[in-house]
Amino acid sequence: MKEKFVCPRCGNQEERYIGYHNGIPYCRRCLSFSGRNVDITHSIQQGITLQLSYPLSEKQERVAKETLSLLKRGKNVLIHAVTGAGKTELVYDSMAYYLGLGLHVGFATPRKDVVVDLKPRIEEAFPKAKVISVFGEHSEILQGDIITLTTHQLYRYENYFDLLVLDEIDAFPYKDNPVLKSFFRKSVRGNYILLSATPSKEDVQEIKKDNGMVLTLFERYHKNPLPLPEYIHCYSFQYYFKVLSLLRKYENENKPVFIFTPTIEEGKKLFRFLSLFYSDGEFVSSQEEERRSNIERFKNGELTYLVTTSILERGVTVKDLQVIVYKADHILFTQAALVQIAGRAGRKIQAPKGDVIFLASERSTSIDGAIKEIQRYNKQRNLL
Amino acid sequence: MEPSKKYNDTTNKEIYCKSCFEEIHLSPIRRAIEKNPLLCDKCISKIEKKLVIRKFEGIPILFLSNYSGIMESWLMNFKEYKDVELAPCFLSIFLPFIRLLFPFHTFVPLPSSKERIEKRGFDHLSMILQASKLPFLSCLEKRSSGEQKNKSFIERRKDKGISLLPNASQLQGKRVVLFDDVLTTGSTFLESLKQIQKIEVKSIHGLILMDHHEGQDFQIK
Ligand SMILES: [Zn+2]
Ligand SMILES: [Zn+2]
Repeated sequence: MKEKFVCPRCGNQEERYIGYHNGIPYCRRCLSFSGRNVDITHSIQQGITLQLSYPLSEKQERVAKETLSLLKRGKNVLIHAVTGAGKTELVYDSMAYYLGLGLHVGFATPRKDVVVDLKPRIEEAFPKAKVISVFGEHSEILQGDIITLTTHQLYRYENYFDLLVLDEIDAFPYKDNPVLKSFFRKSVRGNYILLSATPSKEDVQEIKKDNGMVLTLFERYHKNPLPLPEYIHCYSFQYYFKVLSLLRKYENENKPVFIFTPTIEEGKKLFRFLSLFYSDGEFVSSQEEERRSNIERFKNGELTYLVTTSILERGVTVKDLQVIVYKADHILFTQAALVQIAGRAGRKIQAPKGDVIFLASERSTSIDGAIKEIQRYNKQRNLL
Repeated sequence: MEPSKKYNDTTNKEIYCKSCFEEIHLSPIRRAIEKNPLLCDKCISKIEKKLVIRKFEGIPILFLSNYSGIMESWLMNFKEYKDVELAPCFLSIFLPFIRLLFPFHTFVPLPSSKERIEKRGFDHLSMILQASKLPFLSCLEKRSSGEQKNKSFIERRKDKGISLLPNASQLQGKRVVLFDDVLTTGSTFLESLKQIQKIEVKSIHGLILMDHHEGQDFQIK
């Protein structure tokens, strides 16, 4: 009997992923992860300090301190923070501590867009550090003081990070991807911090098993409660007109609107209809080339509404944003997705409120669960 | 050089799709006509079937598919990441049609440069033909760009450095099908054609996996 082949890179030993070239086995599962690796002996600059131009809230401060003290005791941390709590700031203290010791610090997230947005924020907080971003088409430079990168690029950093922050652990494509998870584990040689607004039970169990602790922050940075979604019942023939009348209302109030649709198809159809009446909108999805420029135009107020699939459920922050979820009872809108989407509204301190409307022909368990989950956060935010 | 032999041919074992790795559940029809199923129904449905014959420099060329979608990603994984298990997939669903159209033909893969082949470790077009069990002859050679250094830019553009290998004489009196993966500008095809025309062959056709030679893409390039 031949010895069983185990992939040295991703640990795979399942036969379906094993191929043969001239009789020699190779792993097909992680093939696309091949390329240059970082020099792990790289040493970072001295004297990097945190210079944050704005204060943390009392509760942010407390979570940030606790995180660092857990890390110092050699523990890993999962921070469960509601959207708009200022998750990123919670790890700055810890990053500063590791950087001060000359250790390797990284900040990973599943999505490229988030990496692009993250880099300038980290640069602002750590002005003396050389911050680099590494993602698909942007992987020429691997060395820096702080590495921001997509989870796809972690394979280049085997056994590298003394502290690795992983944001949005519940986002595609990281979620349920064993290859990326294995690269994550392999890239950490010290400890890690996971960030999530909607961790699953499995996430919580997993970190507890892996010498970790869970910290929570259910208060938004501006201390206002999360906007509570409103469920509006809608017969199938009413959808278009319901959306249209909501849109008219918000246009009159001069408020920008996100309309989330379950699929790209549905989104295109709905937008085609809406654009007959309101021309100052766009449809954006992961497949659109111009999505970044359209999002920019929306942020500057050139556009007043965006029809979108879940691509915008994370990351984009716009003042006074109103949110409509079209066909919220669709199977693709899970409870976690609906909580994320609801978290888009009311994020700015100048406009902490905002409507979140779930349009659906049925109050599904996800809709119900999402509303209850947000109620629970709002109740607990003052107690913790 | 036979990438697909190792598994997928045992009857009582689960078989997995070479493309998506999911288990293949064969319909009775597929079970009857396919000895070594490679792809699941879903992946097969993702192949854009084109099947168009167009003349290029007087030579009829059969285009199987467009340069997009699942085929494009296979080609990337095959050429860049050396996933040789994909070699038999490219032609698999077209094979009955190809055999019908080109019986008793000899397939000639267009040449990649020597440095490319060396870097990759295999000649990808020959491997596709071999994995598809089509009769073929590798009888063209393309010089590495390094060997062309002493030529001017214009000369290099005109001359891709393609020449016949000694075994090309075997093609005399044969029906030849020139085979390439993607037709973009057609310059490699054209130069190969000129070389093959030096031999007295019975007929020449072309077979291209993916068509990239139309619409705006081509105009811009
Ligand atoms: Zn592997
Ligand atoms: Zn498949």
